[in-house]
Amino acid sequence: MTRKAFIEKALKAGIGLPFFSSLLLESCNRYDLDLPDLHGAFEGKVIIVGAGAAGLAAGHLLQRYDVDFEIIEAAPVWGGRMKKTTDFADFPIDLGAEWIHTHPAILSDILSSPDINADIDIIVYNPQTTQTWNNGRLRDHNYISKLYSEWKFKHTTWFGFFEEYIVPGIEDRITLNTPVVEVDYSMGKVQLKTETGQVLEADKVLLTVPLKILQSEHIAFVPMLPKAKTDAIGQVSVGDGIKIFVEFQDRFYPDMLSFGPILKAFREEEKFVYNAAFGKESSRHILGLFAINEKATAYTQLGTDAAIIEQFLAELDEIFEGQASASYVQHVIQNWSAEPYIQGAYSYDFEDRQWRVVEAIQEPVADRLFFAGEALSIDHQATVHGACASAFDAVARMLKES
Amino acid sequence: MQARYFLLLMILAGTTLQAQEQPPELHIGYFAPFGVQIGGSVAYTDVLKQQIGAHQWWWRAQAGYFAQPNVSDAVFLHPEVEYRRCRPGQYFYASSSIGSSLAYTLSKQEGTLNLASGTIDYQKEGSLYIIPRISLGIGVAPRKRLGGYLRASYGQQLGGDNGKQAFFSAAAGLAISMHSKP
Repeated sequence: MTRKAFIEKALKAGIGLPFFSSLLLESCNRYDLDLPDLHGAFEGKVIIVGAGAAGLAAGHLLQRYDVDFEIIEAAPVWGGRMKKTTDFADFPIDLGAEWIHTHPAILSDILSSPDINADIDIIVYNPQTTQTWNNGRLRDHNYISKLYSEWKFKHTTWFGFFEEYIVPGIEDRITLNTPVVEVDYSMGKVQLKTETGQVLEADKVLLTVPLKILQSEHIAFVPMLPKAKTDAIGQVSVGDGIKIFVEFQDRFYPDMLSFGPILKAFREEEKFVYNAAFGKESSRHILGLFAINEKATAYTQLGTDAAIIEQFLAELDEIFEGQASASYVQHVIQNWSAEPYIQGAYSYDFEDRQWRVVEAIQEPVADRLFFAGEALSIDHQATVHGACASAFDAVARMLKES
Repeated sequence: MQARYFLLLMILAGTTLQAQEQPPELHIGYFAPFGVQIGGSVAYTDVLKQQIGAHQWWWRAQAGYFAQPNVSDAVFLHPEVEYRRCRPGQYFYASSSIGSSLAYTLSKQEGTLNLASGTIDYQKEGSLYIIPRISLGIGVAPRKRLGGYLRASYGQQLGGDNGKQAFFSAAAGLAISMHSKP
């Protein structure tokens, strides 16, 4: 059961805040990501489609097991929904995945390399001031600091972590700007056709593209994927996603601002405004907006960045009595729905039981097509470490079943 | 003046009498601020004023510890006065109390993760604050040796780095009679 589903059930059952908050704290628990215990040697070639967290983690693992592999990425950059900007503030900003949603030791697990004897600074993300904007009123809910905490990078980002510790080892295996349009697994080997007509061949293929790409049938499969799998893919809800960062001259906002009733806001986790400089060594006032699903659509449907920032500042002005416009310096917008090879946020809801849907999608096809990504981690869906865990699982299946 | 001394004498005598009838209790229990933080407390509880009808007055000196996993550890001292409503001869009671905690919290602000070992060296900051709070509860006074209690508290955290914050907690535990009844 997902964290969101559990909270929902707890609230419906009238259990209320204690269980709600225990679920918030669940993210603090240590989650171990173990390297697959692999036996035997796989001597074929693997192609990984997608160079997001799952694709890169899978490549990192295959490199470790000395398997011949290649990563094909449609976009001109690797990273998927991990992205950073370093020229906006005096600290790097995560335009995509930002929080470490489990114990930071997971970073060590993802690397699984005792040789990398490096340190990385992390922030205990425990917002001290929380407000809600509900029915036209701003209310304090600072007790949330006692219920909620996660972690963030202090000097780097999720993208920076991969950039420094994972990508250098596999960079020569990554090919960018190569959208795959067809996967033909009708023969002994799998053939991948790219947008430019190039044909790549592999013994096994690991697909780590966002589910939205599979849902929109950007990639054709020959033969078609089994109906159970396509049905399952269609049962995952992936909505719009947007992040906005605004620099202000003054700080007039709390560490975290949620919208609507506080319990509902934390249950749905769809829209938050937050102090993006929390815990950073920064003298700047950087406010972040994180929105997904319909809360994001309210912005993405506006079409242009100018219209989006105008709308957002107007909202902030209403909440903070005009201080946003008066104090505005600059902004950056990351519209994930407008990214052609992402097309949205992340998996949010499942029409059937999550484990059933995930298992159906994960199920290898003809022992040659494998699937991984953030949506395919049952316990850690919608997280970077969940994507990595899913990739580790897929590699284990791939090599064990060879 | 004499009447006042007489009254005081009567109260002391009554308290002594009550103390004989209702020995002090040692409370040991689970203490969970916000329903999710984990902790424990130990308290010495004694009669403040003799039972008059169904009314009892107690005082309690409590010390405890609680933690927000991965974020903070706190210790506190909490003196309070408790009113118990209990029918004469009965052990079950309902209670309400008022007191104020003096708490010290050591919070993790940031840390350095070693990527090889996965261990984190945290930097911590301490803060001192008070939490005036009221509690409502139920309990069973020790019939011979053991009783129990359940309490819920609400208060305001005052002071420290973060200013005023709501505070609520739940507590449950054992009440141990300090003297065996004959």
